[in-house]
Amino acid sequence: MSEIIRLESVSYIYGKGTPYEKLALDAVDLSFEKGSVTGIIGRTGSGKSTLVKLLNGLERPAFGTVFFEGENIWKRPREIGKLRFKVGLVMQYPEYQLFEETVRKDIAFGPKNMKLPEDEIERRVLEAAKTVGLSEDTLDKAPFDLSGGRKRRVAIAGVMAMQPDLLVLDEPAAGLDPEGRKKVFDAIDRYRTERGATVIIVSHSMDDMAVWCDRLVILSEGRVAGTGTAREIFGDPGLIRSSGLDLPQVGVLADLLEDRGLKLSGTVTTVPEAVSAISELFLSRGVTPTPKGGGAG
Amino acid sequence: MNRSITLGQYYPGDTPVHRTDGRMKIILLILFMVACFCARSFSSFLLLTAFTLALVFVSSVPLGLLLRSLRMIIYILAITFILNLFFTSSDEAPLVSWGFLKIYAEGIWKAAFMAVRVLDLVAGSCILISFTSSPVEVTHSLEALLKPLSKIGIPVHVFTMMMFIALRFIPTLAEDADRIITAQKSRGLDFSSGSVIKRLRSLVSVLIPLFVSSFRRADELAVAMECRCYHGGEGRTSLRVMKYRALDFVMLAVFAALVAGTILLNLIEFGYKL
Repeated sequence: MSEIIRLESVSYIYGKGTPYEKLALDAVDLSFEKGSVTGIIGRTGSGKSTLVKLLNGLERPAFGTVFFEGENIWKRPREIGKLRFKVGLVMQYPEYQLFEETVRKDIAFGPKNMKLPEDEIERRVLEAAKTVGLSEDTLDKAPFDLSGGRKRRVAIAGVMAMQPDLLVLDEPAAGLDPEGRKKVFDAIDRYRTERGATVIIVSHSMDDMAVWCDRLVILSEGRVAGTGTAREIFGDPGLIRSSGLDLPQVGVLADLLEDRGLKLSGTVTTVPEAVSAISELFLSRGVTPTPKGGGAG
Repeated sequence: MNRSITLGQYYPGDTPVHRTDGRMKIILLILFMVACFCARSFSSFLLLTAFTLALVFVSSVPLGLLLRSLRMIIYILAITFILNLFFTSSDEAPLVSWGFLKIYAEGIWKAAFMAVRVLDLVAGSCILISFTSSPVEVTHSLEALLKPLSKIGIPVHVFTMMMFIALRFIPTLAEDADRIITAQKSRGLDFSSGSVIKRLRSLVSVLIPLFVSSFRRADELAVAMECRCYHGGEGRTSLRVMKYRALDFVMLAVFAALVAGTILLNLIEFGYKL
């Protein structure tokens, strides 16, 4: 696999020249493989949202270079707008960006800015709506009449309709109920498999990240504190703690079991992993677990 | 971000200018304005400029920062300078005569004085109010100073509360606007090209979400205020009790001396004709 986007010793200074000057990113080196799903985690103020804005050229790094498909994105600053169609960014609480009178028109805003022909725009709107699970009769409603979760999916569809090769989402599921969260992540997964796109997700939800990402990047104080699979990252309690993060809930469960003398083999990060590890533990103790409704033996 | 917002100019510090009571600073500003408009003689302008520079120095606001915020008035300065230069006539012979345009020695002086006056006035008020007091302090002080007006039925509290909320929400709405612009830019919004109509249309994509979010914020704020039993100004006490201290009276004396000095210097230069 080859890489789609790479950051080379990128630094970003926030509020330069004011008394509130702050180094938001400090010599960050990162690269993202084509077709991968990467999660960026870190506490508030660790530089996640800044990093995201550097990826599609909304902000320009103070030092260092961002390469998209091998080319410096700031080589021709006048053409930075074109990059934004290839690197789709869904900002935090994207439902606040909706403005058209119908959902259809709102999703079409991006493709229209790309100056695509009408029939292509219409085709893309329908496709994006389908990807995020919006029915066709929703398309003619006013976006302001929808529920929070559906508004969110309309906004995400608005970015997907540009069909970017790299989809970047900043807290895509924040503030949604469990069903809404699942629908958002299903939509992202569907987009990725249908288009073979690369995905970068920023989130505070360790559970979601453990389930949906192939690789995690921890940011702490503007630096990359660690990268690896969910198992590698969450298997390092020191790293998690020093970055101000938490384990996924099943990880917390594993810790509690260990305190009671029941050590699971390996690190568990998702529910299925926990189920198999716990069953294994039962078996090793000579107890046959009976799923659902069975006694603990 | 928010580079265009000049209102949030507050430059934190702990200098005598910062520590002076907000109410006193408004009084000082009035005195300073009086001094600026009293100044007529060369020596009084010298005093005024020296005083302004001293004020900048004491407040420890970087000169560069101040000059940057003075950039906006450069056009006003240029226009007043040119008008005064050409439209002042005197009995003496003109220095330069070019058709109906004549420049007299007095015109040059007058134009220069006017420019210095405006520059000192704006710089002084920037240092006294915008750079060294937070907007919250300014509104509180205004309310305290205007309080006597409520005796004659003017709802001072309501006005200052509205002003306070407006000031409070400028940075919030600027942030909202910034976020919305960023989001629409990510969807390919382009302000910098296309016809006027097209650019206006692209503004719509920012203004509508901004209106929606400000209404939402207003609604949330109203609920939050009701939840905390806000019922207007009647019987409301302030968390920050403002008290005049020795420093405030020292500052008052300094500024009064400035006004007296300016008038005195005028008298010395022009005799007693004022």
